[in-house]
Formats: sequence, C-alpha cells, structure tokens
Amino acid sequence: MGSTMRTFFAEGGLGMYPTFAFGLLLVAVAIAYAWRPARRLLALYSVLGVVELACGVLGLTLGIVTTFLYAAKLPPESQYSVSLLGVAESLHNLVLSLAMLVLATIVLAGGILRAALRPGADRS
Amino acid sequence: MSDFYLMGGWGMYPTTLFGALLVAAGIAYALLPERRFVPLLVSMGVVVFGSGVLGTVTGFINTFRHVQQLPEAQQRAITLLGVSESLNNLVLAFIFIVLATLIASVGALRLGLRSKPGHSEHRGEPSALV
Repeated sequence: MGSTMRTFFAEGGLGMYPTFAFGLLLVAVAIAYAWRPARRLLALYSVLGVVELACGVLGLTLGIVTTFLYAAKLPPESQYSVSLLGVAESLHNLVLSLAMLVLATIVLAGGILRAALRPGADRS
Repeated sequence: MSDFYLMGGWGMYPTTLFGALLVAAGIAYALLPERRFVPLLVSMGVVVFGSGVLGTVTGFINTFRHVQQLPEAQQRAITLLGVSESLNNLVLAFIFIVLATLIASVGALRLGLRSKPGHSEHRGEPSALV
C-alpha cells in the first residue's frame, strides 16, 4: 500500500505535492465546519476547493505539456503509446485533487446537515 | 443496465451511492422547501459530480496503461473503447444530478408560489426586503 502510494505520487510528478497540501487544508476546514458550523468557514471552503481543483488541473496540464514535448523527439511508432502513458501519469494530479475534494465535501455535507437540523436553523 | 455498470468499472458504485443521497436530499427539499436545505443539495451535487469525474479519470488511466501492452494496430481502437466505457461514470453522475435538480425544482416552485403573496405585501415597504 505504501509503495503503491509512493509510486502514485512519483508518477504524478511535482504537482502532486501542492495538490496534497491544499487538499489537507481543505479537509481540515471541512472538519472544522462539521465540528462547529459557521458561515464564514463555507466561504473559505469554497475558495480552497477552487484552489485544490486548479492545482490538480495545473499539475495535469504541466504533465501533458512535458509528455508531448518528450514524445515529439521519439520515433513515430512509439509516440502514440508513450503519449498515452504520460497522460495517464499526469492524470494522477486530477485524481488526487478530486479524491480530496470529494472526501472533504462529504465531511462538509455532514456539517451542513447538522446545521440544517439544529433547532435554531433558518426555516425561511 | 448491468452492462452499463460493468463497463463503467468500480467508480460506478460510489457515484450511485452519492447519487441516491442527492436524490434523497432533492426529495426532502421538494417535500419541505426551506432555504436551509439548499447548501446540502449543492454540496451533495459537488460530491456526485466529483465522484463521476474521478471514476472517469481512473478509467482513462487504466485504459491508457493497458493500451501499452497491445499491438500497435489495435491501440487506437482500444483507446476509444476504454474512453467511452470510462465516460459511463460521468453519464451516471449527470443522470443523478439532472434527476435530483428536477425533483428539487418542485420544491423551488412550491417555495416561489408560497412566498409570492408575502412578496406583494412588502411591495410598498422596500426597506423590509433589504
């Protein structure tokens, strides 16, 4: 499991580290909201969610650019398969950002449900 | 239907689970149209969409890796087939999102019809709406 995770990170490249860091921050904000629902945390969550997704897409794009630049120097018969392999590895960035986003949003939804069912909730 | 699930891969199962929760939230909003349920609907919609895209992307990764082991003549056809099968995850996510939004729109309509008389009552007092 540990080596699979390490391979997953290594294949994704440099973009995986900021994506993971912002993902942890996003999960922390979601846990804070689930613990004590406050509207100001929702705004922070939205901004961090966009940053997390943008980090994943940025890592993916950089990976695809690097792959295509490398593939252009290869013989034509291997260009297609090497390009696909590079794109597959670059997609790890998007997988990580989406996994963190889904996980954090599930935690956040728990907090939202708690806030909605609270006796003093806005029933308008 | 079972082919649709099998072709989509494991990502179809969490998408179905979160999609069912989204539809349940939509039904809850249709029955009890209150503003406090809207963030729940939005957040569950994000979860379903994220889950669908995640399943699609992992399907792409598996396809692109598998293609490496095939003869060159088959590579393009298998890539297209794998991409189309992976997209079943996104199709399922959108089915749930559209269904839940349609159900929730009944609640929005009920809320709109309910608040209409109140809105006209305040027409002469703009400060009450601010």
